Amino acid sequence: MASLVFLNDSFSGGEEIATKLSQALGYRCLGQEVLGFVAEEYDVLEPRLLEAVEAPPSLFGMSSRTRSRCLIFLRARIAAFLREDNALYHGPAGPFLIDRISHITRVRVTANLDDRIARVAEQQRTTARRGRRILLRGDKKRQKWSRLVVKAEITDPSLYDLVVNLSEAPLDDALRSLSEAAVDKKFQTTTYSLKCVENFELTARAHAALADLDIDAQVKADDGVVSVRTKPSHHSKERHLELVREKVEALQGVEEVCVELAESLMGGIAETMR
Amino acid sequence: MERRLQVLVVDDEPIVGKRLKSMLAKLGCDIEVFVDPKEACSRVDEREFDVVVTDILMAKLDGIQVLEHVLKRVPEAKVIMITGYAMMEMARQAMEKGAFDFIAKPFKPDDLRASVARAAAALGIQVESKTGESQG
Repeated sequence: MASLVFLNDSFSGGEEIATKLSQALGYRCLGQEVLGFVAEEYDVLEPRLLEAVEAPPSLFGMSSRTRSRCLIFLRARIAAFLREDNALYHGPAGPFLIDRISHITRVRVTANLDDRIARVAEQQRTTARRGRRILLRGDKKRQKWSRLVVKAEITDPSLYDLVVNLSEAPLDDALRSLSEAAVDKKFQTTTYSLKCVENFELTARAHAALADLDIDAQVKADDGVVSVRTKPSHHSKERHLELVREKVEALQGVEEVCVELAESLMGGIAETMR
Repeated sequence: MERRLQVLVVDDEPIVGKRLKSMLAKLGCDIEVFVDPKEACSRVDEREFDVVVTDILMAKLDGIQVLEHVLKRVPEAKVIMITGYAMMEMARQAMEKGAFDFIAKPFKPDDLRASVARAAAALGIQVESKTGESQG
């Protein structure tokens, strides 16, 4: 059956519907706790990961290198989770970090502003007025994050296969339509889509393995063959290529590794001028 | 006696059709190959096939049209789409129209055989495995 990746607007009830849906379908489910798993697996502080997925870039904030590193690790973890189908991911940044794969249905869960404000006020035990301020500030932060970090608009409908507004439909109706989507013919797994998800997972895993050698490495996996374009920073070219090859060859599922140097702009200009 | 799986292969490149036939022969099925999708559809009108393996991008008729024609004639048939230009939307379109599977070229022979074996199993027909044992 299809796997599902949710992006929940804050205080929309998305987490509740994700949990209920995964139980109804018998799916594996992964939400915000993904950050704990990433922290453990990649030896990164969880607050850093949270900052990477929530805080927009700022002058004195997290460096772009640190943020990239966190997102690379998160992507690898999400990819590993989605490697097997019948999965529902509703943690941070899902639709922004995964490839477009035909059996992975992207869902945005939202609710009307008034309902979301009421939920904030209830959960945070505050007034509706203050709840509105909290909510709008949070929405603005998320929008800024998505525009600056992943270059996407959260509200862009083309990012999603389905948009569910929990104010427009009772929970049971929303659950029913999402359950129907999970078994919809067009979202079913195929030989092609399973290969896509295998390739995506290996690409993400290889990229994570190389994050400390070359954060900007271009990595692509296709049927066990991993191609890497990379630039050395701390080592000689030969030593760097050797290290990259060693790291990737050690990964499960890798059959062949092709490594080449990425030409730097200055190197290219220097070569032209000789 | 168990009946043999009846397979129709449609690809407008003759060499591809030949290769697919030899890949699938190991499953112990009866295979007819067509390079002309219109002729293939006429053949489908004459007799029932259990499984149809069809390319998508073909000149006279595309694979989606072949799919629609086959399922109109034989709703239980399992149609496997193959293409060298696989894209997510194409895969979804094919599956929405009732394809059984969607495979991107180039593919390993085992991938196609596995897909056909699954199709056979879904129809309750046995096919041979690589070791010559029956599957399904």
